[in-house]
Amino acid sequence: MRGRHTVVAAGTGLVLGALAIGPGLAPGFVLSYDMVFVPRPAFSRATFGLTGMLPRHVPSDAVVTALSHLAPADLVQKAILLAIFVLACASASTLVPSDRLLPRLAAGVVYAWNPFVAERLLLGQWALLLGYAALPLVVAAAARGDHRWLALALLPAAIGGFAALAVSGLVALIVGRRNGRSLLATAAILLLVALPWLVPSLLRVSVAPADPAGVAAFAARADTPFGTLGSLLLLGGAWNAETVPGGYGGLVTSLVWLLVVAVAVVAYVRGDRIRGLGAAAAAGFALAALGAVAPGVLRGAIGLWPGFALLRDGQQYLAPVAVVVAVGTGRAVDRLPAWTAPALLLPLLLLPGLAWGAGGRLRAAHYPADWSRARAMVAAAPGDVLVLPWEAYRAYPWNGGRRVLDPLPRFLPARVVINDGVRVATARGRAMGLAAEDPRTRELDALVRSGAPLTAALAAHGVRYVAIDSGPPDGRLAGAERLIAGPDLALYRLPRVVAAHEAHPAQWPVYLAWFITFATFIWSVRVPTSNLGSRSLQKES
Amino acid sequence: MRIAAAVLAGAVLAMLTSFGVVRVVTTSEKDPVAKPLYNYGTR
Repeated sequence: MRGRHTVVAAGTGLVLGALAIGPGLAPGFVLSYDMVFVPRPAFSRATFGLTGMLPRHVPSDAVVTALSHLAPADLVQKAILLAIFVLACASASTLVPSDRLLPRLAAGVVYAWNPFVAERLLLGQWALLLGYAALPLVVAAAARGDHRWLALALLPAAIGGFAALAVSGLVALIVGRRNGRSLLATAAILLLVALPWLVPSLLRVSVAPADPAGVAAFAARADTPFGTLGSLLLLGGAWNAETVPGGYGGLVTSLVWLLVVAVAVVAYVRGDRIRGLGAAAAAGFALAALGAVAPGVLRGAIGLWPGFALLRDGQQYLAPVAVVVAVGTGRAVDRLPAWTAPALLLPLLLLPGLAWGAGGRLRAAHYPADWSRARAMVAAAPGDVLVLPWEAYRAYPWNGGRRVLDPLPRFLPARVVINDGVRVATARGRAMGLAAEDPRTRELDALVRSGAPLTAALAAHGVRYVAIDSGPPDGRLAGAERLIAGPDLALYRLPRVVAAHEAHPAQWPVYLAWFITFATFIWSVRVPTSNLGSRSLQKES
Repeated sequence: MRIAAAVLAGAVLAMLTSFGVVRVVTTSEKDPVAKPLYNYGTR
């Protein structure tokens, strides 16, 4: 019976996913903020975090690249986005201790359709959401102390990488801390599945700046009338005002949603709690609020160790709070009669702005023909590419003016240098600029910003091509050969290029890391099936 | 009793739906924040 319920929950998740992504399911690529998928991506050093910016995209980019060798990349993207909703709805439903379908579905719907999912989806953080979707499975495995199953449950978060695994790791460590041995085993598994991004991070630690300015830029903010902490309690509060779904944050809907969350939390606390989940949610909430409540503490921590920069975008740590709200909702609904089934639609009614591609903000777009021509030319005569304008994000007309991280580094089969130092505008109209991470960007930054002629200077630094994918032509490229002068991209080839001497870390530790992580997951798959779902979760009173 | 409760629940859901649709349509008609071309986002 429970298996059938999970299948129904998965189907419900599929419907929710189709409803949320909507026009994004049409042919083409959904490009929104950090969500960058490109046709026919190729493996490169950057894919494995061995060059360029910090390896936040490891191993998610590598997995997407591998899958894109089996199916068209736009289909891969749509499958991943739908899978997030399917997994979220199904996994949350399994945590509700009820034999009835309705409470399980209620938990699944609340977990898959809430402000956290909406804001992170619009922000393009599919890799984080992949880990979020499987978090209830991580909770279940950690509570049972089943470490093989825990490794398997961590697979989506491991694919998501950096942020996803930080959130899931926090929860796994707190929920699974029954004794020292269990805690060590959990930590060891986390270490093993984190190796693909941890190793390149360590190999390149000397080039990893952590700009404390990011604390102010990425701290949680209020998106409801209840202030920052109230907004976080309602699972919203992401730093970017542009990613708040349409219609969210009004007084009436916020009050009703607050009532739902309050009832869910009370129902969770008064019922049989999953051991450690409450503590994990409390820790997650504290981390989510840290950058807003005590920014000086976080800035100081980053000053001591740059790794604390992982806490700058705190709202992502709300994921365990969402698990509590989902399970509590299921328990509350378990006390209601069957005729209240239409109440399942309440999350959708309170957050209608997520529907239909978040009101059309997740539309599919096609890369322009100029881009394909540029890729063919660079592939035919490889060389390093520098991208202008000297900014990280774009709002291309061909993407409906929707903001997206420049896709050229993934689109072109070359070492592509962009300015990865992002800018965040404040409500007062000022802009906060963050330091670039890519050493090559930092090397060329002063030159590109100087206003001096670029052709000879860039060629002397090993740049063979300059691509301009937004705005007017750059007048500083006199003497360069213009290969493409289309409406969507201009490509210049520089003369007399000096070979670039970019220091790269050794590759074998990264390959070894991938092998160990693969081996860990193969070990986890060998779980005797009798162990799956047969043990009840350890409860705390 | 059940019919009355169902009618009441239906009425509440209908009100919330219409309210939500109006909110979405209203907010989608205007750009909620200024969007400088190359920013990551706006706080």
